[in-house]
Amino acid sequence: MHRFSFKFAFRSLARNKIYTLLNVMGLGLGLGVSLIIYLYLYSELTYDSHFSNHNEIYRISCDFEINEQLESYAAVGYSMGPMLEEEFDFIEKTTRLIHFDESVLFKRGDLKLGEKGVALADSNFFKVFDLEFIDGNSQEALSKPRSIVITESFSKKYFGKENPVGQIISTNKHDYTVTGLIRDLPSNTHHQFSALISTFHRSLSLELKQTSLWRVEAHTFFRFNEPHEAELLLANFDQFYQKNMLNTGGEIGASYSINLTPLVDIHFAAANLKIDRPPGSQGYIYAFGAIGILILLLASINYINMATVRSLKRVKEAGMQKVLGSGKKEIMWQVFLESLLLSFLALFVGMVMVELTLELTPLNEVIGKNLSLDFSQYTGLWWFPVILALGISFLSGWYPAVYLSRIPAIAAIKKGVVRGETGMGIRKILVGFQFTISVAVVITALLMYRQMEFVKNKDLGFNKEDIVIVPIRDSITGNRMPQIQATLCNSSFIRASTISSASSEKSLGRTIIRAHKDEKSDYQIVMNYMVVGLDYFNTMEIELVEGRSFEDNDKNRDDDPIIINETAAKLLFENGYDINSDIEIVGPGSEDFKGRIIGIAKDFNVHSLRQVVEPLILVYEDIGEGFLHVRVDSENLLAALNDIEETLANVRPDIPFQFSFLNKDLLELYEEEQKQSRLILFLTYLAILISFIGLTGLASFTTSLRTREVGIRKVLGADLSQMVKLIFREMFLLIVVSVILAIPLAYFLINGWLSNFAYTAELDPVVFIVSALFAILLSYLIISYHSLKIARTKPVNTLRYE
Amino acid sequence: MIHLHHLTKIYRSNSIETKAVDEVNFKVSKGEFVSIMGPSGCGKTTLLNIIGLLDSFDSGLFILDEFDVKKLNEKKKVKLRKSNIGFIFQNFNLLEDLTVFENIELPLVYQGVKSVERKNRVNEILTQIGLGHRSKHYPFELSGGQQQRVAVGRAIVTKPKLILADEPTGNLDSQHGNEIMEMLSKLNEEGSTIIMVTHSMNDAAYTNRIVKLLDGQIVSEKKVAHA
Repeated sequence: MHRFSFKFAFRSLARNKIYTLLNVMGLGLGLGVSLIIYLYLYSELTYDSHFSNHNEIYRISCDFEINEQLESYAAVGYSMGPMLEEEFDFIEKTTRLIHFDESVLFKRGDLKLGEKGVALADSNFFKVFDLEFIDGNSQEALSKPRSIVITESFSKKYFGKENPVGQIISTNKHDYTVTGLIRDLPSNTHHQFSALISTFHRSLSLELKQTSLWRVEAHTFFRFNEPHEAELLLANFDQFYQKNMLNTGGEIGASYSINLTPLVDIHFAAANLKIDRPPGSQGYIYAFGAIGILILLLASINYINMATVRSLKRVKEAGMQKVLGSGKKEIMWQVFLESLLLSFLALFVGMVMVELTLELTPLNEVIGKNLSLDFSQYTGLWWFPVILALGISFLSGWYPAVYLSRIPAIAAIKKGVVRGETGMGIRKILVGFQFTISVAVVITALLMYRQMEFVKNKDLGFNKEDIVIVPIRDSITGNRMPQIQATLCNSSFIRASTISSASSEKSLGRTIIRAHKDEKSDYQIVMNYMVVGLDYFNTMEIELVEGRSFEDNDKNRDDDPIIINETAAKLLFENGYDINSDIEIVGPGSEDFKGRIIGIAKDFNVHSLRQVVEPLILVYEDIGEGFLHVRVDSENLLAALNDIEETLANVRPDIPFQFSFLNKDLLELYEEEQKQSRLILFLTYLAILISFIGLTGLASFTTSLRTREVGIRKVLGADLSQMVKLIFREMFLLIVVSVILAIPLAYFLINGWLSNFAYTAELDPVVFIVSALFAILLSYLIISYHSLKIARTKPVNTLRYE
Repeated sequence: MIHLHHLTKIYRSNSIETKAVDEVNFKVSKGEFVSIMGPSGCGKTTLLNIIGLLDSFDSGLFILDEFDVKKLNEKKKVKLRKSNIGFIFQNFNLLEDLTVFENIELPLVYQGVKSVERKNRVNEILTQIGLGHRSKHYPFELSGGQQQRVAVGRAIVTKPKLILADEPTGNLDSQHGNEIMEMLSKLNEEGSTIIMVTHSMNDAAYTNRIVKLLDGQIVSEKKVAHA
């Protein structure tokens, strides 16, 4: 290796500043994006693997089957874990975790804050999961009642720099002693908690324990010493079932089975489980992986194109080096060296971009991750970008290196670039490919945006606008709901109010319904149910298709009045609705209940639009805890909020006023989709940018190759428009073909994404057509610019060019 | 030093064969200064390129310094070329990314000469061609005549036995052209063998012998009488 090779490489990069800048920025951008995607994938694929014993831990889930309806849950009865542990010796440890759906109010001194991510855990939790304790004894931390283990950031909020261990922190109901301080959890774990409260030790009779096995209460984890012991538990579960669960199962006509999922597989294995964190989607992993590769490919294509184009301009130089005694190897090495320098420069730029993006932009927030360029956190981090850069420099250096080293010296010096040896065909295909991808991504992003707009604006069967939701989490307030509602109605800024047990799909209950029409037809179905208070249908503006809504004196009736939705009605009554049928709600854990249908509500979407409307039963009862729904006058929102706060403060002045808006809450159901939509938008900008860099490069190269020809034609009398046409013709067909190819690709992409939704906006052909035309127009402008530039040059100058 | 015997070079394209060099017999002894003349397309440059081991030939014999060129592989040709032959072109062909000093130094780099010795040799040459004050300049900062002087310097820095010049004054005005010819003459007097292709009778007058080529064949050879 000669010192001269370095000198050559540096000088040539420095001399062609614009070329170097475009190339380094373009490739840096591509490398940066793929690096971010790599970090994202790494985080997704290493879910929960930070526990040193992650291979020993399994989560139990259950399948319920009743009346041929199958329901799967990520949680089991509270007693399931300990009873199994007692029954089977080979189970090393078991632990249970119950997450609070809503935020929990903590106070210390004057500081009161609602905390999301609080969970109950039994004393075994840290014996199964080896989380790092900064202070406190991990083995004892949760063994006493009213103990709490908190994370660093939780501690910082309430205790500042003090050591929290041994101190007291309170909720509305109790005081807790901090017994442990742990490090914050990484973003890629299922245990998203900031505080763990120790559970009570309930001592129940065997019979009660056995009945409770049919409930769905606690996320339960097992630790085994050997992997085959998980199999063993599955194989022996039937024995346990016969002994402890069969009786109740027979009564309610249900069967039950369990599954064990290795901890590290939960993130992707847990599709369609109820009571679970939203699972990761393997589909998205592939999609993001593909996008990362694609962006990298697009950027590399530009890079390779520009590198090869430039090498053509250096043919003479290489020829002269040969005349002066340079061998093939020296020429190849020199080309590779230059390409290597550029790639690593780009890599450096890319890494700086990544660091700036992660530190200065809300990207992490948007994608719900905590990514950083921390080499100690990701063991595989260093080699990935290095291999990428090496690979790209090899790919981009290979063609020029071989081409320049093979071309005979004398031909190189004399002729320079030889037409037909310029690799133009390949270059065109690459740029066309780039264009296809970019246009497809643009169309997909637009259609995703339309779907999100559709979701926001779709008629859900109720009016979601102007509804304020206040969670009611204490029974004192709950019990005085009728008076509270009456007071609220007196406010001129409030139109109506009601309370219900659920405000969206999150807190919806499920139960088994026995429909009893006559002696012959008596069957059971699993339905969603919701307990509602007075004025529910009026407040929510839900239409009743038959019957009436609940009235105040319905509480005094012997039979319990219920309202069902249309879907439930169709399921229960094949031949028209029957307003006066008897319906019984039975199921473990709920009292026997004999309901009478008094009305049928038009279908409304309690769930996200991913799901079709499911059968729903609405029960009228006093609700201790739930969600106060207040329809306010949007013109006087602040005054209305003020009135609500005042009314509630009259009952419990010590509880701070917490509220949300129903329309915003509903949008949270589409968090994943919104993230994806935003990410795609970001990628769209990028793809457009990269492919237009590509097109610009190709256009300027094509025109520069024809400089001389254009000069000759001009001397022979061709005018400006003829010249532009001549150059344009060569590129235009390429653009049109790639745009046409983009349409089916976009159709395929968007259809895949839309399959998550039960309700979708129509695929508007206008979006396809407008995007395609726009892409063609934009490329027309770019090509025209370059054509004009060269067509306008004086022929004297162009002819002298060579 | 050079012995061509019935040397023939044929260009083939689309079933048309053109004999660029046709059965040429030609000898050059050590210390000679020979010019090759003839109209455009007569095969002058092809002949020069063959002698410079840059181009191949189809038949005949070519002995260069006791080596039978036909029997040499590419690697040996490169080796022979870089230690024995210096080239000067009409359009200078300097490397734009290198300074005057580095352009002259490059052939020594390829020969593997040590850095200290390279510096001494290049400085010698720079004095010789009168461009010591320009050593750190880039080619585009020089006039055509200066660029060709650098090219001459680069051709002679390895002290080659043979210098091949292809219309070295073709791109220069007469004053600068004469300067270059004076330099070549002087090199010849100091013992270098030079073969030069030229269109210019004026330039040819500097040489010892003029060979005229027409359609690939040598049509006349005459010694030049110097006053």
